[in-house]
Amino acid sequence: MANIVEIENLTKYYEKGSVKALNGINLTIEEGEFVAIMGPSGSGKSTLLNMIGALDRGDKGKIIVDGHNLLSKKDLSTFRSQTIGFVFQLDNLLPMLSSIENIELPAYESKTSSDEMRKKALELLKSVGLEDKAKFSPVKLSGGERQRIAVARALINSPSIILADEPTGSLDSDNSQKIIQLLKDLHEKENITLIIVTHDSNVANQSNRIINILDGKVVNDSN
Amino acid sequence: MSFSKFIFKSSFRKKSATLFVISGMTISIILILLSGLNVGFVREKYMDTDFMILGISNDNVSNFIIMDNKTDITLTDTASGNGNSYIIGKKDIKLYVNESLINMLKSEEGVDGVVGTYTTSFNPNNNFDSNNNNILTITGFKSSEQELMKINIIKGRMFDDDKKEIVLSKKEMKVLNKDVGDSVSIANEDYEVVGITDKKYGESYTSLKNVLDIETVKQENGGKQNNRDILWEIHIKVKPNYNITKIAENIEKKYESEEKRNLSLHVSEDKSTISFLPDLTYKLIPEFIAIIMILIFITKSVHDKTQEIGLLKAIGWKSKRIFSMILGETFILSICSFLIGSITCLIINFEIQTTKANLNLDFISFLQTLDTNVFTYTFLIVIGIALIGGLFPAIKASRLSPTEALKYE
Ligand SMILES: Nc1ncnc2c1ncn2[C@@H]1O[C@H](COP(=O)(O)OP(=O)(O)OP(=O)(O)O)[C@@H](O)[C@H]1O
Ligand SMILES: [Mg+2]
Repeated sequence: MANIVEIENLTKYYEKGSVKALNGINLTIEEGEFVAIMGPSGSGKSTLLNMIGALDRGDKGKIIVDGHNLLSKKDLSTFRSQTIGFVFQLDNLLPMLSSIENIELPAYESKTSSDEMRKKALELLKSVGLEDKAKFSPVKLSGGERQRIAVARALINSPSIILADEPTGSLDSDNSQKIIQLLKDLHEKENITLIIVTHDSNVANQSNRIINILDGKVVNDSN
Repeated sequence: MSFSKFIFKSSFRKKSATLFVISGMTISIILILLSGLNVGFVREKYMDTDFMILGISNDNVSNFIIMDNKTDITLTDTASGNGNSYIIGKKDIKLYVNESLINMLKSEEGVDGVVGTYTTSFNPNNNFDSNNNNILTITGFKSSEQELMKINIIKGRMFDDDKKEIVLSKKEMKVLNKDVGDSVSIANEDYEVVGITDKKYGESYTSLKNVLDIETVKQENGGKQNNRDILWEIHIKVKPNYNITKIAENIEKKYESEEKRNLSLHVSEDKSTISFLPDLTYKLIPEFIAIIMILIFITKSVHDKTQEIGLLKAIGWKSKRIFSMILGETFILSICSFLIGSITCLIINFEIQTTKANLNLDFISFLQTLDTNVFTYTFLIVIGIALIGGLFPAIKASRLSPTEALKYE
């Protein structure tokens, strides 16, 4: 299968080089893989995920995601909206919008009419099992429910890759499993590439491949 | 949900934050509006309204030199009684100004316009309150000079020179208990009241004028006066940037020698521009403070959205869309503040004008006398400043990478 992520010698330094968040990462991920990234706190997991999702730019090396060279690409917003679905550790839902309106947010950049937008958001809401909470503000939802809304939001533009940075970090094991099951189903049904950063070995063990990171380098790859 | 609906919802995202911005901006807007409207109000306190009949005024839009046929003693009385004007010229000379002088004055350097008026008093045979004002003072001039005379019609229209029509001041309409369409009878002739005139705040000149065409006034008064060519007053409007005193002195010198008689020139100036800070500064200080306040409030409100902007960028929003959101929200907040501010200001101003200045106005006619320009300019200033204030933090936030913006507190 084709590689959807190709990373060679990628570095990202902070504080004028004194913090080497990524210190020469080499990694390829194939289309349709389910990868878990593990490692101690501060090892560079989030930084790596942010590089793949083009939320930040690397300093040196090479990173190609779904055919886009992210170090030289000027406009990253189109790539973000069309290729990537991001699930953050904290759900980052906007409190003034209802659940369904939060799910619709990324769709403004995808030339869909507001009717189509609503239809698709409702389908996604159903698929995460929250169709009865469409009009609720995120403030009135539980942590697990909010994270399910965040997953639905990540899916609205039909991305080819889902990136999730400790999506279960703030949830109990029951709710964690619900979220992971949701992501797993997606991955199996739609063949979406799934990359999850996690501390939880229960979560990691359900993936096809575990990558361990330490001090900004890949130290172990189960592949 | 459509994008415009999103912007609308997003404007009121956090109740406390929205309340904070809107109240800050509302206060600023009230400040601008009140200062704009009340420059006129302050002036008014220093100008006795009855004094208007002499037409002595000089505000920043029009400079009038007034010459009249009264002795200087009369002028000195009026002037010292109100403290609004000073006199240059001879003190003991009688002056008659006639219509031929108008054309000569029109060609003088620095003169923008000249109007001749004729003022006289009538005792209308109606139920005019004889204890109070038993005389109706009427000034006549050509209706085409409405603008130069600063006649502000609040209801109806200007009189037609060739018809038996009259425009009365709001105050006298009340005393006479008349309305547009009624008729008043003056010296045994009936005149149809075709309009009501009232002072605009900020303009001190024409307030209580009852106006009729000049020929009629002269004719009506013909018995008393043997020379029908005589005018009561000549009003000269001086072009902007010309020194009013210099022009007055020039005219005085020139016509003194040419006409072989002495002229008494009465140059008036508004006291507020003499004894207060220069008018412009006085006007600009509160506006300056208000503008800074608007900038601070809007900048803060957009700055507080940095995290939200980070999220929207992270999920793929383009900078263009983020800018439209920020500008749209700023626009909505400004309009809300402007509406609340305007209504509050109208109520405050109405209270001030009616109680302190002792004006007998109902709210509707009060609204009619307001200078709508003040509102238009305020609106444009507020929107402009708010958009500028919103743009800078928006640019700053959109330059951050989404990860940085998301971490922002
Ligand atoms: N914006 C930043 N400025 C400076 N240093 C940073 C920044 N972001 C990350 N770092 C540093 O880079 C290193 C890697 O951070 P990263 O967030 O990728 O770790 P992580 O593996 O995700 O940790 P955790 O498991 O705690 O989330 C850390 O030492 C961190 O302090
Ligand atoms: Mg992390």
